[in-house]
Amino acid sequence: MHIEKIEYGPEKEGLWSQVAFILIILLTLAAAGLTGSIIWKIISSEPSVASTRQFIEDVGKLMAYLLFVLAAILYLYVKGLLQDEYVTTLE
Amino acid sequence: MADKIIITLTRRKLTEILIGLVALFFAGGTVAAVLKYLWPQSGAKGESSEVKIALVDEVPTGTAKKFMFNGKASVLLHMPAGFRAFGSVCTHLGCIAYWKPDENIVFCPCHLGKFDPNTGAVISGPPPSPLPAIDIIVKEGAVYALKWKDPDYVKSISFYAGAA
Repeated sequence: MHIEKIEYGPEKEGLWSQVAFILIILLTLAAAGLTGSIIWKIISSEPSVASTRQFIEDVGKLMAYLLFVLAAILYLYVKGLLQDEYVTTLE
Repeated sequence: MADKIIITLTRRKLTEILIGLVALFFAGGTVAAVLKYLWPQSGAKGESSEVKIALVDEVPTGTAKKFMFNGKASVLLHMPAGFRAFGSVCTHLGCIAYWKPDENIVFCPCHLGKFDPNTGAVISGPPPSPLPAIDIIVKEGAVYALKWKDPDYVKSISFYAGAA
């Protein structure tokens, strides 16, 4: 009987990897800012404002931006920090 | 000799931690928003609370503004005779009625109920009773909602359960 164990390979190295890492940090800060904006907008708004079409559109836009930023982070994480191959070991 | 604890923090691990923190932040905010929905500000309830609806300038004569009062959709109307405010949940089946300036009525689109914008009385259509009026006050250039004009009447309307 053997157990198949899948591990991530070593991190990528080089300029592109460093740039990707810095971009990930910046985008993560942007994601935190967008998240804070959405939460603050929802919690602090008066009901009369929160029920307007404009409010819903604004929150929807912020969520779309957040989704875009998260997708960019995921892309950079996979392409910038992970090796192309996974290391598979058998024990 | 003291033991040293060495923690290796890779860029990959740091990224995962940061994303995890953002996810936690998002989840916390979602929970906070849900809690705020379930337990709204106590100041919005109660018969003597003042709820600012709008600045006088925001609602010129012949226009209206939607607002929430005691958790119910309501409408402020600026008629030639002055400001009027009503709960805008239709007394027929609970749809939201709105100001229709071209016909000078408060109109419920579901079953074509029409209400008098000055009194809230039913003009035509299936609504069985008038829209509940809200006492308002104009001071310092703004309009405030005070309380339901007739709390007993509001309690008798099923769609206003808990509003008075």
